[in-house]
Amino acid sequence: MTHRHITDVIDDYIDEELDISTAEEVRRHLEQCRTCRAEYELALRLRNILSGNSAPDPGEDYFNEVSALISAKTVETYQTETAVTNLEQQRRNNKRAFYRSLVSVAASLVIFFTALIFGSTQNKPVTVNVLSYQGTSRVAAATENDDNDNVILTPAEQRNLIKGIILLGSPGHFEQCGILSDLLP
Amino acid sequence: MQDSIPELVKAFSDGDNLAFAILVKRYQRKIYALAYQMLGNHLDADEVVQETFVRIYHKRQELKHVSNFSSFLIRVAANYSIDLLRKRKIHGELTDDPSSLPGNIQIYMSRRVRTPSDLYEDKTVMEEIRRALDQLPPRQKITAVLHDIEGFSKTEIAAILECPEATVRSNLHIARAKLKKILKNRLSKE
Ligand SMILES: [Zn+2]
Repeated sequence: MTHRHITDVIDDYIDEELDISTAEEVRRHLEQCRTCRAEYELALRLRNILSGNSAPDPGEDYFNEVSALISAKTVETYQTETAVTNLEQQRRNNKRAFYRSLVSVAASLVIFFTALIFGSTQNKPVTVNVLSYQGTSRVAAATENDDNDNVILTPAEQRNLIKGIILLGSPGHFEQCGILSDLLP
Repeated sequence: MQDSIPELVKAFSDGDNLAFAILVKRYQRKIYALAYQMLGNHLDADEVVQETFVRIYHKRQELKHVSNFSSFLIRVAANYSIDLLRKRKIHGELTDDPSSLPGNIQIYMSRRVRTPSDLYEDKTVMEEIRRALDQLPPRQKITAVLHDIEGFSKTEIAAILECPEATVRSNLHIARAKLKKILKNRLSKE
């Protein structure tokens, strides 16, 4: 084996990565050749300096502290973020529910007042103008004749009343309901 | 709970935070040592440890497809160390203020100065090698640190750095040649 050969494999020899027969060849060569032995000792010394150059141990307290910090930056932050997101979602849902209930209340009020107008027993006839329908309450007419205030509505008046409620309750949609067509004039 | 690494990794990727805490405990010393060797100071090593595990936490879904967790983790730490090393070379390196460090680090630093020198632990030779190591390009440095200081095999380093083993060998060869040259000059003066 030449000097060239030994310098090429000297690191592998130290790393114990040579097959047994090559390693034995290198070992014998090193015994005889001072130049290669000097190279080997230099490489070995460098290796010992490097492997002996271990990092400091900052201690158990430090590592406990770091574990806690990592947990705070990951697990705990993630859980907090999830909790905040859930809370925001819940608030948004609550707001939506509130507006929905407002709309229902408003719709109920409209229906209530419409019913009141159609069913009222005031002294002059009530004229309701809904989609060109001219309706006069017989209740009012009855009151004009000084009849009883608690006159029950006739079937035709009841139909008009329902129609009024529907027209006010779902403007633009009533025509889509086939069942309502016979209620319309 | 099972303690094997693959089982811990699986539990962690399925959302088990206790498994994550155990993995942090198991690997934090190894990551700290590697980062300290790469960056040469406690504050940067501390940053690498924290950032590595934060990144691993956010990559937990990816872990389902990772066959070797250790290589994956060390790759994240190595890449972050290299980034930080490049940043320090541009913006200036950090030096530890001994009074603000954990007690053990203070003892370590004082020991580095006071230990009587012998053949292999000559502090000035060590310091020179340390400085020479710092002069190496990051890929050569991380290869030398992983192999000659931290004791990883060439196959493991190839997996960590996601490069062919031939590249690991050549980087190691170049790094060692540079360090040997410095050591040789130093010894010829003695
Ligand atoms: Zn020879």
